[in-house]
Amino acid sequence: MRAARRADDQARRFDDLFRRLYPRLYDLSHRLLADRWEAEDVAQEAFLKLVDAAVLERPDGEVEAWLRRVCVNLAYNRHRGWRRGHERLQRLGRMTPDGEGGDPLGSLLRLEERALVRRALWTLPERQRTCLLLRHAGYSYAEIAETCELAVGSVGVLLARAERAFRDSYQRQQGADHEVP
Amino acid sequence: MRCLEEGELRAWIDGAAAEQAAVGAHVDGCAACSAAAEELRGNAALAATATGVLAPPRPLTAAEVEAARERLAAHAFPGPVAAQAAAGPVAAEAAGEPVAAATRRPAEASPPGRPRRRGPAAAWASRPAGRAGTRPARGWLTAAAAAVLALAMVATPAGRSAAGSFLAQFRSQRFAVVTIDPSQADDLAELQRLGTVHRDLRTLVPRQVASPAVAGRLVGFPVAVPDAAVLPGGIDPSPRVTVTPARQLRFTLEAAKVRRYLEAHGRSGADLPPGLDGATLVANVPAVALLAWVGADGTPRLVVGQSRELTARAEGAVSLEALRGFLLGLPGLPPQTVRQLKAIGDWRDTLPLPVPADRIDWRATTVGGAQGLLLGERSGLGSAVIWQRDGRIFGVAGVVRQAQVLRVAESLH
Repeated sequence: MRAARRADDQARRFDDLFRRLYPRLYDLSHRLLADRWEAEDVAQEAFLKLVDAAVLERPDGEVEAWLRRVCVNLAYNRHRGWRRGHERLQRLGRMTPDGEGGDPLGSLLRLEERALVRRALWTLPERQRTCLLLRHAGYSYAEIAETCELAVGSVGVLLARAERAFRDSYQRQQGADHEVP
Repeated sequence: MRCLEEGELRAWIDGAAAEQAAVGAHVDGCAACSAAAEELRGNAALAATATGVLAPPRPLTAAEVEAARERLAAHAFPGPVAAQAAAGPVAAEAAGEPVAAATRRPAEASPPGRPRRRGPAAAWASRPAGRAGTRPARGWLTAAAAAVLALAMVATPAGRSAAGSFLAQFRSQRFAVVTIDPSQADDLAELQRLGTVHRDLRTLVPRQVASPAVAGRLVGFPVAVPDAAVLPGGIDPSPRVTVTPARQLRFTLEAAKVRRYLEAHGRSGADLPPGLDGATLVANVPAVALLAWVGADGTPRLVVGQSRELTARAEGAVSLEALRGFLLGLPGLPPQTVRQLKAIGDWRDTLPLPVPADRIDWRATTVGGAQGLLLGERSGLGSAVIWQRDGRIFGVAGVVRQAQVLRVAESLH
């Protein structure tokens, strides 16, 4: 009886956490992978890993930080795997009427801008890239510190370096593109 | 107060410095720190604007969040909801729908006396095929349909592998798979490093039309339809019909860019073939008719595409064969892709299809006596077949088994 009640409580908590945190994790995963379906899969997979994780017994803040770390790791794993080859084909898929957005010209320009930003981002060391993406997805310094597993006081310097490296890389990539009329 | 480290300044800009007021007072009175803060502000603004394009185009709706939650909860916590969700694959299979291999595993026995709590790996592996589990396949489905129509070769353009096929008075008559390495750099960027790509973006607009007959009038040939009897179950029997107009893509080589490219790869001073500067590859992408059947969730389950042949020609004084040899000999290209392109004997009429080898298997097949390629996603979720007959390219792709895409293909009339 007690075990059943405990299971119910756990399911309820899982539901609450999901409703609250899933949209934000989806947003973060989307920024990492630039693809809606991949982002949903990564965010959902993180929650599935949570089901049996000991951290589920911990306070919400710790669970959230754990989920963010898992999301980031899953996204990088996907990126290191088949992601880029698949993306090239998916780019075409999104140009069909089934893709996101109804304006194909706008979609194409968005895709190209995304590709440029991603190329620039992926020249950064992983930790800098994560820090920069988290900050501009609206996460606080404390949340970034938890995710990147560093002291809060070190977030500023990591972020400053990341943004400078991103600026240089982005401008290089842009320069390369601008050579094409 | 001493001058500040850039980490402190960066935190101050975000209102996250340990001594916010003191830092502000110092910056106000210190030209060096003020200038440094200005630079950091600029960098932050650029990063915010640029990475904004990676955000989802819109937030998830409450209904989408709830649907995702129900899918996961059904598997993570067994109970009435789980039983309902677990019926999904079984019901789908009974209706003739594909079910991922993992979902057909016999249920593991629960320990007696208490509900079995499934581990995340098992829960994830047994996702219902019609829900989250089809997502990669759905992306692949549209991609396969695009590949089927040969658009992948030119609309991206898939550059390094495609370049080989553009170097001729080219008319697609057969296909050859060219495996691509998922870790390759972005091909469009690479192509742009050698010249100028001109695309008519306006003509990318697909147009929804009332029927296959109307589509046929727009593409210039009768659009074939499959027998209703061979269509998979659980779909809307009326296809959505769209037509993408024909368009032209031009890629003009520029000697100055080629030289820069060669210098960047340690080959400064290399001889360029005469006539290389300004040589233009022109790809004529045919109009495409797409018939798409959607499932109950509104996502495409089966796509049939048809077009005329893709043709390409070269403009300029350079010999086509010399140009092809020169481009395939460029440094920095993936050796495996170059080997495969060089191995295509009939390169003037063979269209290389870029296939991510780690995701998709393929084999030769025949459809109505015509040679074609049968492709399958390794998870077993998606299949496609592509063939060419009577000057037309046909393709069938879907979240179905290979036998079913072949049945649909054979039934086209």
